[in-house]
Amino acid sequence: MTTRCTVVLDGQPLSGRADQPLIDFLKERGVDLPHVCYHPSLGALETCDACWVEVGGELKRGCTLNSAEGLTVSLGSQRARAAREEGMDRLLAKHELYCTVCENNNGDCTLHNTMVDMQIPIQRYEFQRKPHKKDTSSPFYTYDPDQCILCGRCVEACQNVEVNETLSIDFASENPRVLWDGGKEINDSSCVHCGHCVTVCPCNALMENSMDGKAGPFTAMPWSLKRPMIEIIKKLETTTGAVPVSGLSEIDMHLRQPEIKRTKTVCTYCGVGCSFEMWTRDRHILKVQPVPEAPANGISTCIKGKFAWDFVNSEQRLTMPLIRDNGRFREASWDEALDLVARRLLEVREAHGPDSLGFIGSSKGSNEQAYLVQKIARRIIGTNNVDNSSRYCQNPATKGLFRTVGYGGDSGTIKDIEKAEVVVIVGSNTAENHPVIAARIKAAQKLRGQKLIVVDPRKHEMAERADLFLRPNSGTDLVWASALSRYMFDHDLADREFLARWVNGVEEYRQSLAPFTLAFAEAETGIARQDLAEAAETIGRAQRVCLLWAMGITQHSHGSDASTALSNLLLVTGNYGKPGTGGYPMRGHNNVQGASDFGCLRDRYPGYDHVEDDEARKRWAEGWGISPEELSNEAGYGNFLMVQAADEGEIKAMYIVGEETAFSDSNTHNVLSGFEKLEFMVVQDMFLSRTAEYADVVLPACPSVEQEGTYVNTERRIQRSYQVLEPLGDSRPDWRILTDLAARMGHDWGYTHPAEIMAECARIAPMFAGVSYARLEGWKSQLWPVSADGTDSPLLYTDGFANEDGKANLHPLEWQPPEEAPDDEYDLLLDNGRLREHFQGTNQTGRSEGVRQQLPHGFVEVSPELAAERGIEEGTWVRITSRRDSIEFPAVITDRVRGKTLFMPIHFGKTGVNLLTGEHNDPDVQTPAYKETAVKLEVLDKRGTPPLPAHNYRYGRPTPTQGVEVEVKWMRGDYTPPPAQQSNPRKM
Amino acid sequence: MAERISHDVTPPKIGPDAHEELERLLQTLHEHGVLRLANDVVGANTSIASVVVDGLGKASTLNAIQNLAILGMMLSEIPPERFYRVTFAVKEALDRVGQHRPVQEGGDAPGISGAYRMLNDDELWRAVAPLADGLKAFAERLDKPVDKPVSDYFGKPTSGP
Repeated sequence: MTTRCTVVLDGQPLSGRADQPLIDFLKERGVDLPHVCYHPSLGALETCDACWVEVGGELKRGCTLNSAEGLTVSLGSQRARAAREEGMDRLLAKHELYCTVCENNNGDCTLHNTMVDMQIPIQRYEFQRKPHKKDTSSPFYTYDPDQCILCGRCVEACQNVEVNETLSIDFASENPRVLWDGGKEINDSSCVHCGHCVTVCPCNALMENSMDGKAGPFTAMPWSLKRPMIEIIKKLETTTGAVPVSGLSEIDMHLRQPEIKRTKTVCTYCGVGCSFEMWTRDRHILKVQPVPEAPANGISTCIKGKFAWDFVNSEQRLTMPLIRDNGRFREASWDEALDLVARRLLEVREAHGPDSLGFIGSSKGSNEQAYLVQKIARRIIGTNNVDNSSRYCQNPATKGLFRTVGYGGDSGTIKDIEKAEVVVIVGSNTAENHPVIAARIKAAQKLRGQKLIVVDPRKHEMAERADLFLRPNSGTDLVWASALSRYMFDHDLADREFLARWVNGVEEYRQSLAPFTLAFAEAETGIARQDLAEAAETIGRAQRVCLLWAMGITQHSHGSDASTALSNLLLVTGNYGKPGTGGYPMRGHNNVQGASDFGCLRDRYPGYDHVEDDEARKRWAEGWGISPEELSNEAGYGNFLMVQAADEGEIKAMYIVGEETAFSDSNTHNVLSGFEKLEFMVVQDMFLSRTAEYADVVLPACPSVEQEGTYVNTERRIQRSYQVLEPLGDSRPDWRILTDLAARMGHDWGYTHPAEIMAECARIAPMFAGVSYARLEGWKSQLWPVSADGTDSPLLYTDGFANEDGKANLHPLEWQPPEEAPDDEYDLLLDNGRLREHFQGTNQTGRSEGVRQQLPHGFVEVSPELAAERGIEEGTWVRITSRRDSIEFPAVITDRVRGKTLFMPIHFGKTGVNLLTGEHNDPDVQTPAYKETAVKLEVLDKRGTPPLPAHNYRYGRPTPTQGVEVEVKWMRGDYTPPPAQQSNPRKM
Repeated sequence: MAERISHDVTPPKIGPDAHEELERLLQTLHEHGVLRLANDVVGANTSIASVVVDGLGKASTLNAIQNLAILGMMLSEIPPERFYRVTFAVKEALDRVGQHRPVQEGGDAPGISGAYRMLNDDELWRAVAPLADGLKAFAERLDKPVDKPVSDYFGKPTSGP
């Protein structure tokens, strides 16, 4: 419950929430306490000395105070005013004011606004240059020491929000500045270009390069012109004072407002679901600006979300429909293209039946797109052959949750993960694939003592940070997870009360655990018995445990079983339904959750109604105004089986929206062979992808920023994304293309806005009953299931489980070894996955010069021991051969991999790693076992430069600190607290 | 059999061109009434020019323009610090003159020397006294050193922006 209080400010009582930062408390009541270094997401840094107030006759920094009953504050006293002005004067001694020609004078420059609000008549200390060069080494942002006020916001964000621990300020040095890895250039440091520092910078010291010369009417001038203008104004200012000059910059700031558009959008890379403002001027993307109000990420982003949007204005964008014609593509009108698609799809259905067609919706596109893809498949064509790329990654996790707790999604929110006492990460390179969630875990561990256990064959960043790192043999996770469950029962660590009240099948499950002794687990997994026991003790004795897993679990021949084993472990220890607990499959694409939620699954309608459930079928038929018999009640093919069926001639036509199936499905040879055999193939995409090259018709679609829509992140959070830009050329929003196509197939649904599509779905699917665009306005979001009155469900299972009897089910399992394993000939195991900088087949990130600079080439990671054994050096080219094909890449030698396991990023090459992977798959959900590829390695007589550039962040050396060390500044002999004047304000 | 096709996409036009920018400028000028004003001005240009020429042709206007030019010539040769001192010395002299209260400060002629008639002309002395005060203030201000006008004006020292 929120406590209220009354604060007395300069004799006036102000009532509001207690224990709130005073600055925010006053702001909400229309009182501006000047401040520069304070940021609501960073707290009190106490560096700027611009927020002094008097309390009980003593000067105090206002940012350190919280609202409390009886707090009496003087803002207007002469002493407090003088102290604040002295603080601001010290800041201005470090920062050259040239606001009218500055890129940051856009209304949100904290330093400029505070100076104007304080009506500083003239600065006391002259600005003088510092003996440091501007750092322009990063392709994404620039640091200008001459503009830096040493407030430390960037340091705090890097050290304690992102927890990359790259930035610091050495206040004890002669001329302090922000340092990267203690004194490296930005691009030569451990900086991951997440953009936190730039986002929180209160001035233009840290600035996105995309802003350069673009923000204001006068900012494009060359410095040869700007510099003399600045000097003229500074000269005049010694007579006129700062007020008229500030007036000019205020006019300039207002001049910019009609041109700069700020639009809330949702990131379309990973499943974290970051939302932020995108700032544009015409079609130019000035910057991505995260805000504290964003529900999933706050001020956080990663390199892709913050900087990798060049693809939007790529000249490679498709802007005209293309039709295959005599062995080439020719540009065509929308009318011709859509008529052709409608006619041919109906002809194929007529000739071969509805199940001869397959549809793949996009896991990057919106929920409305997914809904329409499945509606066309089910309602118009009459098939359940509809799926999305969750088949390649997430379906095993969903299966594990369906078997045990009932909902196929994360149990809680990112905030729950933060609250956990222990976080267990299994088979998830969270720091690279879900960087913002990793940042929250790193912060919880660093600042609040959260325990981190990582189980992974690969020693990635989270493994290095872990309190306990277990390195199992690949594909043996079911064994250790089940052994831990058994340990809980054997050592009285099972939550018996929870099990008795909420869980079915306890005794049967316990009996099924008989083989899973620690000795057996040690033998199968290679994890030392005492380490297993330590993990079990840590998990079993904790009050709140969250367990995160990803592709390292799911992309195996028994990924569903391994996922089930993890969920079983959570049930045994009572870690569901309480804040800070639960199972969290890390969804990989931005809307892989939503594409499944909204019906792009072979056996589920939107909201996970089963196609074989007569009640559900009836409800959907009624919703769509048809008889139930018109809807197929047989599960269709998922995309993996669809492509196989195409190769076998059973599927004759496919419609693929925004998926790079030719690159992402396993065993590329068979995929391409399947495509070649199709009678008709349609690809709807932004680019002429590897998949689109096989299409008969290519329809040019818009990226998310050129259309409205909603997306569901890994938390089950539905967020609304607004249109930032007009569609490029003649490209069109996905929902509109699909609506037009349906109309040409005789089903004019008449949608004029995606809100109408969501409204229809909400009317029919109980899971989304209370979802609406109005309730998702601005930064608002809803986590499913959402009841009709709009009440959503941030934390699942608080009142029982989503099974018929309201109880969870413990699911007995048997250990089955991986289907493909190394043998004498194929003696190595090839692991593969994403890297932080790129996304999938690089169709988006590959258009960003900056990203390419960070990671220009593909490579294969080889362990030091294998490299020594085979005579491989950094940059030596090797040929990797699986039972399917060969691929050649240069080697990176690293202990991220161990022994006879290799790792290859999935992003590079025309065909990529799937030239090597096989079609063996999880029989429960047909997810290919991408992580189970046995290979052999041949060293080639060719050596190039190291494929991972020396400036890559992986070679950096972070400098962890507790944050901004302002105490060091205060301890300097020459520091004087305001209002006394400072002899050398530029040096601290 | 649908074989792979390599195809070079026709590069789209990205961002507004000059014509579109011009169109937008026209629209903005229209919406803010600038075009209407410009139309009105151009439409009435002969009448407006006649009014302007009539006004400019007057001797007083020509005097004003020439005097402003002389001021400009003079101002361009004076360092701002010196000009500031003089102008503010004048201001303070005028302030002092304005503040003079003949009754409170005594209207009687001081001293025994001076012109005989002045000594006995109280009315004249009352008239001269404020000017003398003003001259004193003017001299005092001229004697006061000024580093930077803005510092002197706001009472806040500065080593420069």
